[in-house]
Amino acid sequence: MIFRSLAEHARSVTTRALAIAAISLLASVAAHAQSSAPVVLTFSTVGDSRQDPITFDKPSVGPTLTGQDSIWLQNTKAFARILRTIQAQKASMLFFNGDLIHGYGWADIGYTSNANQSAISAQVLPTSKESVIGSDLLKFYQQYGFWRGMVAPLFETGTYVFPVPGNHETECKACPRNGDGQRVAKVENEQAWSANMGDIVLDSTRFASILGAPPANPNFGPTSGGPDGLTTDQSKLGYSFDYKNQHFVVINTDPVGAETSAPAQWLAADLAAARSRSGLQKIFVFGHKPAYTYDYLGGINGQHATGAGLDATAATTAKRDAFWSVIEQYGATYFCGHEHIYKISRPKGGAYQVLVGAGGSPFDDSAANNGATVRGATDRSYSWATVKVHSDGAVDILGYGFDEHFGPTQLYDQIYIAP
Amino acid sequence: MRTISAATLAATALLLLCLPARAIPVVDTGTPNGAVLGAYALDSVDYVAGEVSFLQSLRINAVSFHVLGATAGETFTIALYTDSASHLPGNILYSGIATLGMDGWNGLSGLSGWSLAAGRYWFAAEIGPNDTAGNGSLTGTLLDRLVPHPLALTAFNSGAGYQAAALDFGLRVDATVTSVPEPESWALMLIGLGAIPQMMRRRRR
Repeated sequence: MIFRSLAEHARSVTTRALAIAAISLLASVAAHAQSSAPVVLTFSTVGDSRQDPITFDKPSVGPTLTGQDSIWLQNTKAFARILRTIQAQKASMLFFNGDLIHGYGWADIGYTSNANQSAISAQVLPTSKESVIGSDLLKFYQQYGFWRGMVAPLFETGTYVFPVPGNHETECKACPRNGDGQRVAKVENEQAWSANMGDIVLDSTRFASILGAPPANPNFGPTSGGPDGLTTDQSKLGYSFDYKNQHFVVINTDPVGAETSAPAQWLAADLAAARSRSGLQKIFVFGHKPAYTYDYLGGINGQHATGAGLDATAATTAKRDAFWSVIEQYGATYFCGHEHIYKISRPKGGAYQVLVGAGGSPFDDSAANNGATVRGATDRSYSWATVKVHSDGAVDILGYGFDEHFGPTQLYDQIYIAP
Repeated sequence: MRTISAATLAATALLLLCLPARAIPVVDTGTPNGAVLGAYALDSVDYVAGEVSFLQSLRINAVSFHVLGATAGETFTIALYTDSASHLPGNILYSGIATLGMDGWNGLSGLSGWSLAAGRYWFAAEIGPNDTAGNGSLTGTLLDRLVPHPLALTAFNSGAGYQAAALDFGLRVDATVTSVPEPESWALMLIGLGAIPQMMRRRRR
């Protein structure tokens, strides 16, 4: 009797266990639905590797910067590690979402910002070697050179690097702000960008040698004037192209005269043209500033992180809404940086915003803030996204990273976007 | 009550001594949580290793790591290192290329020649230049976490050499004890055998 009872109990337990296992399996499939079609394209994206000479993250990088990083203002250790892992993941393209240099001065002749960039000199033509070496112009070029050196091996080993301009490349921190309280971009900074990055902005020959075919339907960014009210030529700061039936767009979110905004009108026309092309599957847009600020503070202790992105002011938010409408209308995915943190979200429940701005810059979520509160487990992680595109147009966005103490690389997220 | 004769006991002891040695689990962290999110990356620059300590001489028969994102037929490398002065993987002693089957325990079995003296060693999961693990996997090859009995000392390599870190991946090692009994053990056994005739005589009285 007792044996039969035990046997029935065992059967009951087994049945329940099987039921739970089946439910778990179904839940797992739902959470990680994926395409069985082969992966035809892998690309990675990250932003913000520049270091800060004053506010560098001491709990992560130590009490002082290395001599190298204090001169060229990169987080070399974090960025180099991200680069080699991206290559281990066999990404054939890397989109770098801005703030690759510290910059943030005025790259015209005769301007020098102070150490914390709270003040900038009047324009004085250099009269000594020291005044040349200390100038903002030279620092821009020096820092660009170091960053280019870091990514140069990628071009030689199968990964094309696509630069995206950020506010540290285009804006001047110490210059007077515009009427909306935003820092202003300088045309000389845009020119410095073009001089240092222009050669890899859709270099068809190099593109074809690495990726097997030249970029299709290249479109160089908005020119001055036009519906977005831009005052400078953006042809090297924004661009788009097709590759393997996918459409890629790079935008400048801090153009001269329209700082903290995306060229929504130009983008709408570009995406409409892309969608009209037969066979086009997915659209990926890369900019620097997030459309929606990630509030990593989450109201804990009454604190919020607000207005860090294109939602900085009422005026920029109105433009942001127009931009996001375009993203949603054309089913695009937006990748960005600027906030030095990791967060993948669907701000309006539709399109994804993939915030990967923790490529080495000081974490926005400071170690001190982390002390007594509960925050996102990945808020102080160096992180990036590697995206896999399937032949049927399905996409998997994989978020990877390692913690502030340079621990092991881990998979953070797996986001599936259906064909 | 029936008793077992001393002669039977002696014969059984001798028989047991003559039996061939069997592989037994010598390391088992238990099975990790099976979750891809949070799992450690295993790729051509990201490796993991764990330290184990053996009190006797062993011959390693099988080593396996708990792997996710496995694509059947792809390979990874299992390496066995000495323990360095800084308690990290030191010199490589043995390595073998393991073929992945499916998600779960994957590794090397039927090993011969991986003989170790008592001491501390490191078992590592790596991706060598000829390995193919991760090529067919969406997430890349991963090592899931949160085992019930994590190893006390672990390390990872992110392309800049092994460094210590508290990791909780799954590792199993089966081995055969190859220890030769110490002189004291032999002496004890001989004394025991010598006592058998004495016990038999006492019983007859």
